[in-house]
Amino acid sequence: MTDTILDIQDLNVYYGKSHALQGVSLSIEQGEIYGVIGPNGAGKTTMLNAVAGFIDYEGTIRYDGTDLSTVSGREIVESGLIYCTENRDLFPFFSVHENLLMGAQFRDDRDAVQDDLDMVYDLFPRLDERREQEAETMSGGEQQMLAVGRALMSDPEVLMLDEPTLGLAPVIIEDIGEALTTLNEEEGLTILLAEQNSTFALRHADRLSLIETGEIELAGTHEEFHDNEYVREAYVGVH
Amino acid sequence: MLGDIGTLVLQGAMISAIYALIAIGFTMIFGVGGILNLAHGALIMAGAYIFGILVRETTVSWIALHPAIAFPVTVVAVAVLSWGLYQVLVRWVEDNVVITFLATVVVAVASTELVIYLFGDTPMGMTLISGALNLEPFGINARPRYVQFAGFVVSWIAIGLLWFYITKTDDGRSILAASMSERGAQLTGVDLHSVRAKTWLIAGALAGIAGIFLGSTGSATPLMWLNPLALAFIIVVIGGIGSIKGSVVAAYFIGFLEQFTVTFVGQGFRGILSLVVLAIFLLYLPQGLYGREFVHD
Repeated sequence: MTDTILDIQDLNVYYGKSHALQGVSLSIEQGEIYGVIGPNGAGKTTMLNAVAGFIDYEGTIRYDGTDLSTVSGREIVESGLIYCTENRDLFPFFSVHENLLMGAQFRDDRDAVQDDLDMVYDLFPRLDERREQEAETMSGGEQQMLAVGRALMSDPEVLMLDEPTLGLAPVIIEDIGEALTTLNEEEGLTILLAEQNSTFALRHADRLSLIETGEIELAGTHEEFHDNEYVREAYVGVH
Repeated sequence: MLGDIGTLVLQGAMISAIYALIAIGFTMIFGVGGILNLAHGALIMAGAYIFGILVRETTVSWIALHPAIAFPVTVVAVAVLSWGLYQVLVRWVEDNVVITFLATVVVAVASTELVIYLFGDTPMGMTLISGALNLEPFGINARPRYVQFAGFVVSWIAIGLLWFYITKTDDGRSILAASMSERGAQLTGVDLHSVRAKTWLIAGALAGIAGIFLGSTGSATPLMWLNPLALAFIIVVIGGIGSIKGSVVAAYFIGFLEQFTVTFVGQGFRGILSLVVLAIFLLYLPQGLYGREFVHD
C-alpha cells in the first residue's frame, strides 16, 4: 500500500482554441521518481504549469489531499510542492548564495535552512566553489544545478523538474542524475520529472507516462517502458 | 567665480536629492511590474497640495497642522493614494501595456482638472521650514534656504532606508528578486500582486516627500506634475530603466547639469542640456548607466 501525494484527475487545458491537455490523469506516489516523457509540444510543461498554478485548467489537482485550486502560490511552495522550470528562472544578478537563500525566504527554522544549505553545497560542489558568482555568469549546467539547489532550499516534499538535462553536456547530465538519485534515496524526495531525454528519464524513473499531443498514450513501470517496442523505437533509439 | 561654483554645488546637490526621490519611485514601478506610471507626477502634485492644505491656515483654519506633523501625514496619505491607484485601477488592466499606459495618462490629466476645480489655478504657497543660511561671510554668494537642506537630508535618509529594506530584509529582497525574474519569484512562493502593491506604496511615499519639498521650495500648481514626470523619464533612461542606483546617480548628474546651465548659461536653457544628454544616451547607450541590475524580463 503506497500513498498518493500528487493526484491529477482529468486535467484539461486550453490555449485559445487549441486543446493542449486532453483529460490527463496521473497519480504520483510518495517517494517515487515519476517520469513523463514525450516529444516537444506534447503538453509536459503545460501539465507542470497547471500543477504550479501558473495557468487556468479544468479538472482536479490534489496535493497531499488538498485541492490546489483553493490555495495560493505561496501556500503551494510552503507545503513543499516545488517546481523547477525548464528555463530555470534564476535571479540573474543575485549570487549563487543569494539565489539559494531566496528559496528559503519563507522558512523560519534557521538551523534547518543552514543544514539544507550545507546539503546543497555538498550535493553540488561546483556551487560551493562559486558562492559569490552572479547566476547570470554561470554555465548552463551550473545554472541547472543552482535551479535544483534553490528548489531544495524550499524544503520540498515533491520536486517537479522540467527538462533538467536540456542542452547540457553528458558529464553534467550524469552529475544531475546522480544528485536526483541521492535525493530520492537518501532524503526520500518524490520527483516528477518531465523529459524529452527519454534515456535519462528511463534510467531514473520508477514509473513513467508517455504524453503525445496532450494525451497519455502509455503509462507503466520502468520495466514495462524499457521493454515496450514503441517506446524503444520512437523514443529511446535502441533496437 | 568661486562663489558661482559654491552656489552650483549647493543648489545642485539639493535639487538632485529631490530628483532622485522622484526617479526611484518611477523606476521601481517599472522594474517590478513593467508599468510606465504616467500618474507618478500627479502623486507628487498630490503631496504638495495635501501638505499645503494641512499646514495653511487660510484653507481650513482648524486643521492647520504643524509642519512636523503634516509632513508624515502627507507622506502616508500619498503612499496610500498610490497603493490605492494600483489596487483599484492598475492591477485590473496591467496585463495590457497600452491600456495601463492610457489609464495612468487619464489619471494624470484628471488630476489637473481636479486640482483646478478644488483650488483654482493660482499657485499655492506653503512653508515647511522658513529661513535661509547666509554664506556671504564664507565668500559664497548664495543664501540656501533651510528647506533645501532639509530636502537633501530627508532624501538621503529615505534612500538609505529603502536601500536597507530591499537589500537586507527578506521582504524587500523579494521586490528586487521579482524585478529580475517574476517567474523565479513565483517559484519561490512570492506573490507578485503583493510585491507590486508594495512598490506602488513605496513609490507613493517617495513621491509624497518630493511633492512636499517641491511645493515648499516653490509652490503647488495644477500642472506641476509635468516637469517631475519628464525629469523622471530622463533620469531613468540615463540611469538605466529599473535601476535604483542608476536613478540616484543620474538624478545627481541631471540636477548638477541643470544648475550648471542656470549658473553659466541662463535660466532659459535649464532643461535643454538635459534633453541633449537624453538624446545622446538614447542613441549610444540606450540601456543606460546601470541598465542591468534591476531589469524587468
